[in-house]
Amino acid sequence: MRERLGLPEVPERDRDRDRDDELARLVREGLARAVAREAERLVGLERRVLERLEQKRGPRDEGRAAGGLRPLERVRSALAFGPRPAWAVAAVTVAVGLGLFALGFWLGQRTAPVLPSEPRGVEFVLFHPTAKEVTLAISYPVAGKPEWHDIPLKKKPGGLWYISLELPPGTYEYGFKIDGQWWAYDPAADYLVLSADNTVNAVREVRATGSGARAGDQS
Amino acid sequence: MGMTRSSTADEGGRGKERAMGEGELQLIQRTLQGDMSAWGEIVKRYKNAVFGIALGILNNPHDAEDATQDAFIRAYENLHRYDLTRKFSTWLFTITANLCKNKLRREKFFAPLRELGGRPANPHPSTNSHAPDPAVEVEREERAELVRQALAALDEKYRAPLVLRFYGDLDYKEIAEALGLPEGTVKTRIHRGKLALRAWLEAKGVKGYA
Repeated sequence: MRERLGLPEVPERDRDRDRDDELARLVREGLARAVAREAERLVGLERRVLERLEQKRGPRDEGRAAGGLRPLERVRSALAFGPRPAWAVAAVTVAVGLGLFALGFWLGQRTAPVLPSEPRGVEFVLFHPTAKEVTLAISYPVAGKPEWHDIPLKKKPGGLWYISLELPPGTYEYGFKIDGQWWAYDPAADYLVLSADNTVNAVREVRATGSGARAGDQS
Repeated sequence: MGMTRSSTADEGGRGKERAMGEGELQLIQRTLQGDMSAWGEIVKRYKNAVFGIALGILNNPHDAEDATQDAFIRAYENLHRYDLTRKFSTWLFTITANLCKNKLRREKFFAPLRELGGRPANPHPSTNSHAPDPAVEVEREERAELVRQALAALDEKYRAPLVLRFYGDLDYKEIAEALGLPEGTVKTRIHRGKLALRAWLEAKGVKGYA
């Protein structure tokens, strides 16, 4: 129609822009008038804001600059939970996890009981960190007749008491005297027996091919 | 850089920027050095603009007043984080929009516990607004009220970006940052909001939209 009248055609895009500008103007005008109607609410706002800030700052913070944080607040602010990039959260989680794993591994290395590296025979091991003296009472034949012998155990790091004996194949009853108290419930024993005097003895069977050595643990 | 220009304090509209207010940078620096009166001056300059943003988004003068106060307090507390390369008004409006958004979220959560219907806006026009021609003034007043109603009728998700765009003069990126939305979403919402506003104004026979 405009062409027929000899008027230049106004592109659709320009018309949209004009209507947008008009809309923006109306919104601005509408809100500006709404603000003007509520102007009374804003009377003295500066004073109210400053009063609230003063209350928040308190007397100890007199003279502290806006937003200035004390060292403790800086730390708190840094640790405060808030929106963080997902990759940062993931990286921190992985780093903390690895750190904990490394710490656990290091502590385990430092504190785990280490079995002594002595010549392997039949090993008798007892875990008793508080014992002052531990003796192995073991019955083995002397001149074909079984006899009981007391053999002191050596104290090792980590609360272990230990001895390794070269024993010929056979069946051996034994038990531990822990500060004089009899104890024979050794989990390393092959089995337990009740002796003639009603005490429990542990039994270790030593075969010709192997030492049968195992670590025992009282706890 | 942003500190060379600033929107006027009393009018938050597009194209209404002027050279940075005299001593504004000094006021911010004085505030950073602990001079509270300087911050009072900043509040005085920007309170209308901030209140306009809050009112546009919240559609409730009482809540908008609270949000305005909170915005200036939060801005003060974070002033050391203010990037001098950004326009101060944009930074301030971003804080305001954030507060309003959180407030609306809370309102939505607690809405079932409150009585229905918000407080109505003050129906009495200000007596100190000067009107050279009463007929023109009445027409303007009616149109402004219609636009306000149209904005109020919009869903908050469209209203907030429109207010920030048209009243706060923020660009898409800044709006996206303020509302925590992707820039594409902001564009879409503004487009749909504009269509809805136009439809409303056309239906009401507002000049240029009839």
